Amino acid sequence: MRNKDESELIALSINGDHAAYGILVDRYKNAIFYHSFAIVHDEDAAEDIAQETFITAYYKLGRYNAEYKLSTWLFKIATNKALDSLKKHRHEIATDDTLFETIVSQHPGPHQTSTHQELYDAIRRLAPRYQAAISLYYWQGLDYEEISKALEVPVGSVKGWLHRAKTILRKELS
Amino acid sequence: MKDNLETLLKHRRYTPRRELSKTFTTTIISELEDRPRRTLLSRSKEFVLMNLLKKPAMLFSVAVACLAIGGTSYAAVGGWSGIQAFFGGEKKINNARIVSVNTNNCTIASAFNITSRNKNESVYYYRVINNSTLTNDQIVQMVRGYCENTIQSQTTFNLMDELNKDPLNRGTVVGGYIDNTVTAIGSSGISIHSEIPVGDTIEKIDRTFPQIDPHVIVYSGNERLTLADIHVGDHISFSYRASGDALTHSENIRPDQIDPSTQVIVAISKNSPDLTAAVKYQKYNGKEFEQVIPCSIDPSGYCNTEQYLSHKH
Repeated sequence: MRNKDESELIALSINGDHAAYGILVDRYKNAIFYHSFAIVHDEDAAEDIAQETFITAYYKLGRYNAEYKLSTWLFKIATNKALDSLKKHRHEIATDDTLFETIVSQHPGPHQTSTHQELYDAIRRLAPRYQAAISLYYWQGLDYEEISKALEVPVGSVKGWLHRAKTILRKELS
Repeated sequence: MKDNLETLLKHRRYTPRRELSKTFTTTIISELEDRPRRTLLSRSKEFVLMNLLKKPAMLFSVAVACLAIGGTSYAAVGGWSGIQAFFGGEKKINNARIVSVNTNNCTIASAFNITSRNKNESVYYYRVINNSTLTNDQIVQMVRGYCENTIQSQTTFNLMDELNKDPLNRGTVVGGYIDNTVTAIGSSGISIHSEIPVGDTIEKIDRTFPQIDPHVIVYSGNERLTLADIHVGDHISFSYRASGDALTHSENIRPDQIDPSTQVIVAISKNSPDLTAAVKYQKYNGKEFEQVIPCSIDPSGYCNTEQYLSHKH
C-alpha cells in the first residue's frame, strides 16, 4: 500500500479510504509543515495549518485537478491558510528571538551564524507573499510554473516577487 | 553578501525547532472519521466521480461509460435501459460467501478498475459475511445502482459546460446531496427528506430549499427531464450553487448545517430504485460486504482492494 501510485491513492481517498489518504498525508506532511512554518514562523501555528490543509484537501479532492502535482495543490492550500492566519493573528505573533535557533547550519562559525541570523531576520520582514515564494522556490524546489499555480499569480509575478525579495534582502544585508 | 545570497537561500533552509507531532496523521484521520461519509452527503458523489473521470487512468472508464450510452445521448429510451446485471453465482468460503454479478454495459469506478480496462461484459464479485442480512438479489440491485451512478456521474460531467454558461455557477457549484426523498416541490422550491448513514446510526434530515435556479437542469441517467417530471416521493440527487459560508467553507461545513437559502439548486437527477438501494446499502460496505476480485495470493481465492493493489505493485 505504501508504494501505491499517487493517482490510485487519490482515487481510493476520494472513495473514502482513509488509510490511503493517511499515506498521502505521510508523504507530504513535513513539506507542508516546513512551508507553513516559513510563512508564520511558529511551530504550533504551522502544525495547525498543515493539519487544516490536509483536512481541507481531503474534502476538496473531488475538485483536485490532476494536471497539477498533488504537492503543488497542497502548497496552494497551505499558503492560503498561512496567509489567512497571518492576517487574522498578526497582532498575536510576537517576535521570538529564539527563532534564530531555527537556522539550519551544520557547523556554523560565529560569522556564519551572525550572517544567517541577519538573513533570517530580513526574510521575516519581507511581505508574506515574498516569504511564501522564497520558501517554495528555494526550499521546496518548485519551479516558476508550479509556484505560479500554488500562489495563483502569473509566472511573471512570481519572478518579480523573487527578484524584489532578493533586492530587498541584498539591501538589508549590505 | 550580495554574491552569496543566492547560495545562502538555496542551502540554508529554515526549519522548525521541533518535528511534527507523532500523532499528526492519526489526528487527521480521526477527524475525517468523525465526519459523515463524504460521498453521501458532505460532497456530491457526482462531482467526486467527475474528478476521477478527469484522470488519465480513468479515461477508458469514461470511454466505456460513453459506449454504454453511445448514440443515445439524451434519447428517450430511459436512462438506464442499457445496463444489465444478473446474479452469476455463489461460492461459500470461510465465514462468508462470494457473490458474482454478471453485467453488460455496466462500469463501476473502483480500485479494481481504475487502472485496467473494462469490457462491456464484466463480472463483479462481492464477499458477503455469513450473518449479513443482504440477499443476493440485493447485491445485484446494488451493482446495478452503482452502474447507474456511473452513467449519472458521466451525464453530470457532460452537463458542466452547460451549467457554467451561467456566470453565477462558475466556481460556485461546490456540492450536492445524494439520494433524498422529495416531500414537496414547486417551481421555485423543494423540500426533501434525507437519511444519512453516520457511523452506525442514521441521521434523518428534513430541509426546504427556497431557491431552484430558473434554468435548473433535470435528468435521469442520460435522459433529460423537466422539473415537472419530479414528484413527491421521488428519489433525487442534486447539486447546488453556493454563496456565503456555504461557498467559502464548503469543505469544512456539512451542507445540511448551512442556511439552505445560500444553496441554489442548479441540477437535479432523478434516481432509480436501484441507485437508491445502492446508496442505502453503503452503510454495510466494509462491514458486511466488500468488493473482491479473484486472485491467488489470498487462500480464499479472492482479494480485497488493498490486497489487490499490494499485489499489483
